[in-house]
Amino acid sequence: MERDARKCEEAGFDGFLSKPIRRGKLYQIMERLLGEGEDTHDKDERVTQQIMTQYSVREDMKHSARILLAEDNPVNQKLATILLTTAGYHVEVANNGKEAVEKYMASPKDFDLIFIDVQMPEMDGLEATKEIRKWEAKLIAHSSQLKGKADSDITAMSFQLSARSERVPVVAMTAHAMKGDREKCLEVGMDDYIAKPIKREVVYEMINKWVFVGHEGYNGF
Amino acid sequence: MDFKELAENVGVEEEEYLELIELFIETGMSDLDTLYSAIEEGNGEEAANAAHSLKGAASNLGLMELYEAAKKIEEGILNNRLEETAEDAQALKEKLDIIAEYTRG
Repeated sequence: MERDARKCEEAGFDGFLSKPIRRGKLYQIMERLLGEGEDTHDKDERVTQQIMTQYSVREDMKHSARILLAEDNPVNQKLATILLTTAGYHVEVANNGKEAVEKYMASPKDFDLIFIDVQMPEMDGLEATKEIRKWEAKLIAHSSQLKGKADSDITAMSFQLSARSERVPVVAMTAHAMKGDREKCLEVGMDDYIAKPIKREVVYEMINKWVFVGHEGYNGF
Repeated sequence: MDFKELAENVGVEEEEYLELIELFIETGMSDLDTLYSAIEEGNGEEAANAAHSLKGAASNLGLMELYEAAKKIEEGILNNRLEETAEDAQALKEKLDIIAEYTRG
């Protein structure tokens, strides 16, 4: 396998996948190749462009987006999970807003983006987002205060370690089609909005827009 | 009903789609039960939530007839016509039964 990859590289191929082709791998390799292509225009110092194989793709997947999916309906939950995992993303499911808030607060650094249903039992998506934003604001304020003090206190350090430097992107998913819904979502601190039915391309676009754009190595496509 | 085409539109494998349909029938039936008893008890909020849940799942799976039926019920409830929705709920149940029949066949 490795030797095949090398042969292909020598022959000038940019990518190498062995059959049977997995959809997730294919997307990943396309994502990488299209992104890398743009990269080389900007960066002349990139002399050797490495051939992409499923091994390097798998390596990349470790840094792939980690999604917190808050959705109460089992069908929507399963569909979104299939679409996300097929594309190589990690998914953690929360069954309602309350669970989403708890999971996020327990390990904020483990999530790159939250997809959240607006209408849910226990706590809806709007309420949950409000809670998350309130908590983030407190945490960020607290950690910047501590930074200024040059404190060696262990709790201070752990605070800094657990705090994100920025707020997590929150994207609403809703079957509401009423005017003003978008505004309501943005008002509580959500960043974007997807109308159901969930469209695969739109989901990927959102992840690309809110997680990868601006990060090193990803220029968007 | 062409499951292969539906699966393609949704962006999943046919096998995955059939699993989703099975789950949809299961949760849809339970939503319908909730809807029926909520209508009987005059609990508009719960009835609307059940219809909303069905509507969202149906639209995600591209089941447009079911989506329309659930939407009609949800709108009816939101417009304070709770009692009149029992008939629409029956129509929705028939459509769900047809799909259940179809997947078994």
